[in-house]
Amino acid sequence: MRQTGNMMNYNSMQPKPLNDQLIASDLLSSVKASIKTTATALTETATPEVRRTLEQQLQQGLNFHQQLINFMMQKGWYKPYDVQAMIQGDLQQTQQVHQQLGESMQYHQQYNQQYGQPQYGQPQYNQQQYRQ
Amino acid sequence: MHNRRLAPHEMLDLHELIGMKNVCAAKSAAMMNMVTDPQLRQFLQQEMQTATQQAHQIQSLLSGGTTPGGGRY
Repeated sequence: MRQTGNMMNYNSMQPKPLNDQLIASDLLSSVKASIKTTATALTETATPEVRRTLEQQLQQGLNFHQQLINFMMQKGWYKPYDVQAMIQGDLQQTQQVHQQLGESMQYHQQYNQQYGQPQYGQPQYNQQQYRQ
Repeated sequence: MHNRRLAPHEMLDLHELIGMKNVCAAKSAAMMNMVTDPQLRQFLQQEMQTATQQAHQIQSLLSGGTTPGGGRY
């Protein structure tokens, strides 16, 4: 039973479904997207300075990708040479995430029952602001 | 901040990239507090620093200034 309803308590007690493996996967996704976007931009550029900068950033991204992949392989989080094992790991991870999200959902529902639903109301943005 | 030296499509590509770099840097910083593995934390720190630096480089390209560590283009 929670004693107080302040946000600090709420945040400190809520389940944390993001584990190291998921964070590493997210970092890998970011790096991959970054590499692809940089490469696409490179094929469109005409300005030498832009090209030079993007070439350098592409190389940095590729180097980082290699280091991260090696690390994830060491950890057993990424198994490119054993697809069966990798898919098995994916299925396990999916189950684990869903279970944790269920717990998380339960926590938030309990919290809302105890302290009331957050009131969102009407969107506050000023429509004029978005008109040119 | 109009830049005559860049083609319009280049500015759009750089716009997309700088947004990604900013998100990457901020997200890596936020996630550094969530990980337990020290090596993974180092990766996040490295990504945060690199993405920040790259965003600055793109910023220079977009504003027509000088690139960090390079001359005026």
